Amino acid sequence: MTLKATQIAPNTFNASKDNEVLEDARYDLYNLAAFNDFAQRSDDIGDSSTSDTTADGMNAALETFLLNKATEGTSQLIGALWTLETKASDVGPLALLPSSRGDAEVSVSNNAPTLLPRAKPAPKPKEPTKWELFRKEKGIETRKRGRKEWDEATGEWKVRYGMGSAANANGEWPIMEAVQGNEYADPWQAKRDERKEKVEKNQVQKTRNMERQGLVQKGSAKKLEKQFEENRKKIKLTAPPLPAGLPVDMKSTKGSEVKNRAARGLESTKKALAATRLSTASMGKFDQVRKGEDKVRKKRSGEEIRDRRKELQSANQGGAKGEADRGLKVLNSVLLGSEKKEKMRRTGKMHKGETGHDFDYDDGLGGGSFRKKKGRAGAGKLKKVTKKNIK
Amino acid sequence: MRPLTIDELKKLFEKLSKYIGKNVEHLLKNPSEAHAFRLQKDRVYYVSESLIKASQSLPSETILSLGTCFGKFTKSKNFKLHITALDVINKYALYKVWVKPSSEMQFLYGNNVPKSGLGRMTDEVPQYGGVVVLSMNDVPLGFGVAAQSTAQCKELEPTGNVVLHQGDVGEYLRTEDDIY
Repeated sequence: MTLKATQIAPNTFNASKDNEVLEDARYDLYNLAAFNDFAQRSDDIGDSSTSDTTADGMNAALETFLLNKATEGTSQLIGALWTLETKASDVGPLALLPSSRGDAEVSVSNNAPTLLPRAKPAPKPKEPTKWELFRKEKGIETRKRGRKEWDEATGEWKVRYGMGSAANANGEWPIMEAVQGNEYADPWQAKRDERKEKVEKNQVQKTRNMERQGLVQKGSAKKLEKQFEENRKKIKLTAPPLPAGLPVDMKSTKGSEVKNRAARGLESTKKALAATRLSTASMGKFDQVRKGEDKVRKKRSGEEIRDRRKELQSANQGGAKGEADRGLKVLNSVLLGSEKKEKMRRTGKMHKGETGHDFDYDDGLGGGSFRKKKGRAGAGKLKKVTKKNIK
Repeated sequence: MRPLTIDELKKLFEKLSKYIGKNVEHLLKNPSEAHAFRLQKDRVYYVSESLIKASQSLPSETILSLGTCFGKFTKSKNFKLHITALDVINKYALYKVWVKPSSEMQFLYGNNVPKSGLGRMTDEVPQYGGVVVLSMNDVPLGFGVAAQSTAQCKELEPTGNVVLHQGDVGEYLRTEDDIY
């Protein structure tokens, strides 16, 4: 089968058309493009009549030549577009472009949509989450559940989750059981806290899945967990402590360490006793004092209860000389203290937290527990932890 | 009337050492006669031993003041030095400031000493160090706290404070009820 030139490029070699010999263009109608692949002859650039051989003159001739070629190409493209299947519309006939990747038949020959390379690398296949793996392994199938669920207790259709759901109903029924660990805790608050914990746990699991898939930086799940922990600690700090005097269950001390044995209640019993002794009409002033008990002393705010007898005893010892010696001792400690400070200030060690002006110093005491507001509000507004603000 | 506790002694010495430094031991171990500090109703007195012994026979409510009043402990347990201690402090002072006659009166009225009123100053005064203020004739006028160290004071503008007023002799007239 011989191929004729007229078959490949009909326009170029078909001189039977009008004087215009247009070079055949290659069309990519999907991208609305026409390509002229023919090499151009330098003889065609510039008229034989022009004898202008200067650079500017040659440039001008070249410009006109290229403009002509472009005009030809555009007219060819539009001609090709007219050959396409049309659809009527209110703005006129619409040409139906061939669909992508060259699957449909193209009406003009020699056409294929140009395949452009990917601008960005292909996305990695998503790694299955832990649940997906488990599901595959066990062969569990997921069923699509309806939006509403029948709630037996109230006898109505309730949403599965969120506002108005059966699980979210807080305060509609009285809570009969006390909170597990602490009898005096608020059960509604405890319920809210439980739910919050669940949500936080879910968030952490989600980030872990995303980490595995590479959508989020490694280690952000752990950071998230830590942030939630800190928030919980903050709230704990501001929770009001149990007032002394309330009966507290004594913990078992079998095999426990010394520090746990303190929970046995000696300190809190003492405190409770001191509190009760003041709780008479005259603040315990005229109460009969038992042998071995000291008088009831109401502590003024900021004042420490001193044993003045003992102080006087130690202060009067040794006479004048003893006093002078004791004074010298105190003086030495004072001078040394200030000298040490001076030295540190000079050597530049002072600024690490000693002066009040070092705001960044962390003295390991975990910051004071002073909160301006009382109760849970003292913890401050806990910003919602999202993917974007994981520090 | 009782001797001071260790905490009170600490506070007293901290204040005194700002003005006198190590010389506080001269106060404790007085070369001529043994002296001691006594506390009567929040006020600290520097009393000689013989006087203490004499006063012990008197009921404490009747004693208004004895010896030299150095200062008092405020309600928040800080020690405030009074002008009545000036003679003792002047004797052992570490840092002195001489004030020109033009701003003498200003200082005696209770104002701070500006740089324009500064005559002389001892070298190497630390910032916020205790300073005794004297007139150009070496007459003690009071005491104060150095607002800047000596080097900084040289570069201060004329209206800047050199000495922050703590006590002056004019208080004998202004607050005579409160000093003793």
